[in-house]
Amino acid sequence: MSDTSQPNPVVTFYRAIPECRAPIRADISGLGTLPSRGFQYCEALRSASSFGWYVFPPIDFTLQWDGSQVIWTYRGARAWYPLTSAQFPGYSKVFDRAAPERLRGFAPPFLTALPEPGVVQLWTGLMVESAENWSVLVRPPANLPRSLAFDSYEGIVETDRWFGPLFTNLRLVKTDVPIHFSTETPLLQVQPLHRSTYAEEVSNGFRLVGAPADFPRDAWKRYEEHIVKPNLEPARAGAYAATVRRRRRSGCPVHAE
Amino acid sequence: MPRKQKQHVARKSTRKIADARRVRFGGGAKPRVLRSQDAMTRDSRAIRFGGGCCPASLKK
Repeated sequence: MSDTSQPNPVVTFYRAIPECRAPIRADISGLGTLPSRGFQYCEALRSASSFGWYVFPPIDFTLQWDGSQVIWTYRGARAWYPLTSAQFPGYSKVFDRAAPERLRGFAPPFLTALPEPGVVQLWTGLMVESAENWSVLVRPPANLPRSLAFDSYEGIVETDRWFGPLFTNLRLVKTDVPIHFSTETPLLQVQPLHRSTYAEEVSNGFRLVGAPADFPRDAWKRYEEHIVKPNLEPARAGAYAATVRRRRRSGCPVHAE
Repeated sequence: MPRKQKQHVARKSTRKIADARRVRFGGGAKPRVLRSQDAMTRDSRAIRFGGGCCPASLKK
């Protein structure tokens, strides 16, 4: 059991913009958007959906890209503005009031237009740190419907060693339409990753069994157990989900049966 | 004898085609109020983070 014990907490969020919405645990039902069959029977879908935390935009705002220039506006603004680099509205003073004197004037920008066409860096208003040897994967929410107007890049940050803004880079796709971002809708999903899980030797260490004739006896046995037997007992739909949940309830998410 | 032309009558738009003006598209629909400065969000550019902000010429 000791080799699976986790630091608690693995991840700590720091809310640097006081009015931004706090992160919440990612939802097992994808905020109610998953098909009910998937929600009930598909543990893979449920696990992926609920792995980590949702992070929201710190304010309602809108971007519009004409293929060259990005303009933006936000809730409460009186106009649209060309985007080069912008602070969260009124934040410079808030930061300077809270920060040590030597750090005044160094508030992180909220939105920055990057040199690549249509790419915008967005700060969530949070900073993040993680326990030793843990990183965070910052990515779009898993299994939530996505906007067709933009993509967000994924990134893995070693937040045990680097402390700073939790941000993402957005790639605007649609031109000449307003692209809205709402504090009601998760923008990102932040997932904890132990550094060992994405080490080079792990990713380089895969193996391929090239043909079914080469499958070892044990693989056929497991195929029988997991795929064939449930099909012969159709009343046992969702057996995989039940087994995973039983294992999880037993305490150890890895070893206990 | 010239044919009598039918006169079109301009009417107020009906509910069916009324538009709340929430959605605009195309370059011509670009917001008309576009200002260059916003005191609330002015950034001194003192802080940059993330590799995306690094000038391309400095990348390894």
